[in-house]
Amino acid sequence: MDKLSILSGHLLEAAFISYLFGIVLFTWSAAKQRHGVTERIAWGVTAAGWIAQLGFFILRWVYSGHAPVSNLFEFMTFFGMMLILVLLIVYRFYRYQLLAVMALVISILIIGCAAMFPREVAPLVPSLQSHWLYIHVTTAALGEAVLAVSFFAGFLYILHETDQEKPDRRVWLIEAIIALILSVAGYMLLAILFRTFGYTATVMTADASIIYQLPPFFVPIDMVSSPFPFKVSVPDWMRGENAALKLNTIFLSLLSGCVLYILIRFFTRKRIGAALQPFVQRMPKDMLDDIGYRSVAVGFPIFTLGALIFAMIWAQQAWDRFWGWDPKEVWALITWLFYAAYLHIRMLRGWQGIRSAWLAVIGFCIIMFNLLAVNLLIVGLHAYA
Amino acid sequence: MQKCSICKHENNLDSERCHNCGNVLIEKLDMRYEGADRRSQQRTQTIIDKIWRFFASVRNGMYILLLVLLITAIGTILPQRAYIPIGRTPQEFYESEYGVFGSLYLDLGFDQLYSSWWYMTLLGLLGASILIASIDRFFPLYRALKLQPVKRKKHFLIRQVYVRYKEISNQERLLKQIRGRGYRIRQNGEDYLAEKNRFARWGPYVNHIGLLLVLLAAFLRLFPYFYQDEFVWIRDGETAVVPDTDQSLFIKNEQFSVDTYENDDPKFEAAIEQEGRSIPKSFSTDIIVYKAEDHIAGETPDLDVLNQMTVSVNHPGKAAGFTIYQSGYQLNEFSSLTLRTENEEGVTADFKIDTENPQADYELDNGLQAKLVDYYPDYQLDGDKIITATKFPRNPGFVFDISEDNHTERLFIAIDEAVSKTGTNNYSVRAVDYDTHNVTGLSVKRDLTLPVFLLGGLIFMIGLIQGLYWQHRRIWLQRQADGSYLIAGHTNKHTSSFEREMDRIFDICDKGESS
Ligand code: HEM
Repeated sequence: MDKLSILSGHLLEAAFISYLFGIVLFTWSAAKQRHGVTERIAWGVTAAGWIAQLGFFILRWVYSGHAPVSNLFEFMTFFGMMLILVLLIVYRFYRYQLLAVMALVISILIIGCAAMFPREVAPLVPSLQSHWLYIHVTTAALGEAVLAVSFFAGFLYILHETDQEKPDRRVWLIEAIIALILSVAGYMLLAILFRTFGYTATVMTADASIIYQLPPFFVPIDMVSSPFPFKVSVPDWMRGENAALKLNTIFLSLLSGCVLYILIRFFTRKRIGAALQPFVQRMPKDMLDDIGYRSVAVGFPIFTLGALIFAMIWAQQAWDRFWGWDPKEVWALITWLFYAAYLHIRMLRGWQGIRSAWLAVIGFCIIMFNLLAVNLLIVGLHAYA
Repeated sequence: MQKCSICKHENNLDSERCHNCGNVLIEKLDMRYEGADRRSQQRTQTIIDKIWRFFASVRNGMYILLLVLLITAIGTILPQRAYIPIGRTPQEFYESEYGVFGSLYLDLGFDQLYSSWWYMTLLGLLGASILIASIDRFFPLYRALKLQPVKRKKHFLIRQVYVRYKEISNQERLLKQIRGRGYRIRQNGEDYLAEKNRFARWGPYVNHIGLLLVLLAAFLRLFPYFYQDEFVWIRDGETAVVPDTDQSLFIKNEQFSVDTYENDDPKFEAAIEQEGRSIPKSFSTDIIVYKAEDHIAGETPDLDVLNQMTVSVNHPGKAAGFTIYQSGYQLNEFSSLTLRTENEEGVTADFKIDTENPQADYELDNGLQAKLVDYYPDYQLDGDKIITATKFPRNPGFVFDISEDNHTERLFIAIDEAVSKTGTNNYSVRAVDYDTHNVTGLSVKRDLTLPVFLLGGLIFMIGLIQGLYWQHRRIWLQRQADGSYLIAGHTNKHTSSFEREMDRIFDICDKGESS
């Protein structure tokens, strides 16, 4: 492999590690309840990590000859990078360490997940050879990163406001969100673990062999042989390419998420939401509400420009139609409609505060759905991806 | 008069506490429309009023918006009809791939959701809602903001988000501070009104106009005058007429070419190996566009060269008001097939079939006669039935009746296949040679709605930024009887940063005074 490509890979690892340190330092600073040296170091480490990631991005660009935003690995790492950029800027205005912790955790998970997708530098097929592609993808990612801040603020608001004494629906919803985030982390840990030991399992079907990087619980219905003792044939209606493989991934993520959740609860001895609440307790909730709204107000125009307008200009040139109702496009439209609804619903009496915060959480779920699940579920489980 | 919410005592409008029980009375005013009267709030209730009121409500508008959102999402559960594989019928596809749910999806029309009349109707309702809600608010708001007095009633001021009573010793410095932050100040006697960024209030109305333009453009697309969408397949070296242009526009495909990435390019080796085949680098066609002189039907028209160019993916060309896009191709289509027949004595004779216009009868030198019964340009087996997947000669199959004197034998013949259908095998027929050609697929479009879409998008963006990146802020300074000032502030959003701004203004003034 080329030296540049190896160096750029190391820079990404360096960034990842800096972000991990960033989480530790910001958490520490939050626990000390002061704005001091630790906080400044935390910001500095995160910024250094960001510079490293920028280096990764630029070197990969030089090496591949095109802006590295053209496959899922590249796009997700870029999105993670935008999240950190937005965090670094927002932190200049609103110095809440927990906001930084949220952003770093989500960003790390996204970059970690990205690394599970094929990382080879791929040549661009003709339709992707357009400057509008770069402009579209980078602006869309930036917009989504700004919108994500409303999720961070909203989630903190919810943690702050929810009465943990009463175990009602809301309390369990918080736990579910935490478990979901842990599932992503669990998947990442599993993948790293099995990759370190070089585990692969080859499942033979009637006309193909599928290589699993994780133990194959779920196998295609026409499986002939599998090296793993437990197996479940995937339901008949999922017959898309790699449907079993994807279901296997989803299953193992959720499983590992549950294991992590139980482990953590074993140490905290109470609901994770309840364990986190004291950290959030002193944050000014009006400010959190303001930050949430503000990030939608700033992010919505950027998202519109990047994910819709620039995308349409590109699609018009590349495919002679600016809109084709393909699932990814449609979900960008749904995201947009949702945030438009957020802005209006907030104007109604009684919809600021906790309800807005929940809306912001849903909004981020839609963004994540479009990032991952549309590829994983909608397009993937269908026959013709 | 205002009633205390606890003891029901009637108090003065501008009292801050209840005279009877001491309860704090002040509730913030809803300043969104400055308390202006709106048509939708009037009492008269004709049917028009009711419709108006329905669409003017943001709550109802949001119901419509969320309904659109939900239905749009449902359309992605299964692939839309436009994305099902070529050659499969919708009935068969949805049924066999997704079972009962698939059939239901098809029956309910979700397979063509986004062009269905009811989806369009829903978008129309959304448009109506945007339009009516905006008109309902814009004019009253405009008037209220234009006619703002500097002096305001006390009960108005004390119900703003920011209220302070302050001694102001150095008025000049304060006003300079406020002015320095971009406010414009009006004075009436000893009272002041400082205001900035009023234009931000019009942002929503501007962006809604942009949205309505986009919806209008989508509507205009339904008319062929604004939107014409043609597609031509042209073989290398041939000329084709663009459909629906009154036989006036012709395109010649001089040469179609595909370029692929080098398989041993060290940069891309790994990715290409994973893909398992070469990855295309470019698709392009050298074309000549002709305009036909008006001509008599049936005759070959005289063609005048309009334009000569290369179109490729991402680089469309323009001619005669149309935009020409490279949007499909087919390599190695069969232009002709040469079949060799053998009669009972073993004498052979060849004949060539043109796949575009196959002859009906062929008289052969060995005395045989071949009569074309059926032709499948792109044959496929569907169970035990032969069908054609497309109308392009990608995999031609023929059914011939081969006869000599009074014996006839029916045969199915394709490139690598010859099956007798009558069971007898007196004659043999097989393909011995073929010619191929490449075909380019060009999409020829005239879309006069594009500028409207673009303009709508532009106006939408301007309105968004105008409304969301600036805030309308006002500060009232009202002199009280004792010489101190009642200071009230209003912002249309981001209250906490407004409070920060206000505190900073007074901080700086106070500090200035102490030093
Ligand atoms: C896709 C559809 C829509 C988009 C993208 C959109 C966009 C916006 C935006 C960005 C704002 C400014 C919000 C803020 O300042 O926080 C706004 C305000 C507003 N929108 Fe919409 N809107 C849409 C549909 C509607 C509909 C269906 C209605 C009908 C009820 C409506 C009524 C309003 C009203 C009344 C305002 C407030 C105006 C003001 O504050 O003066 N909008 N819209």
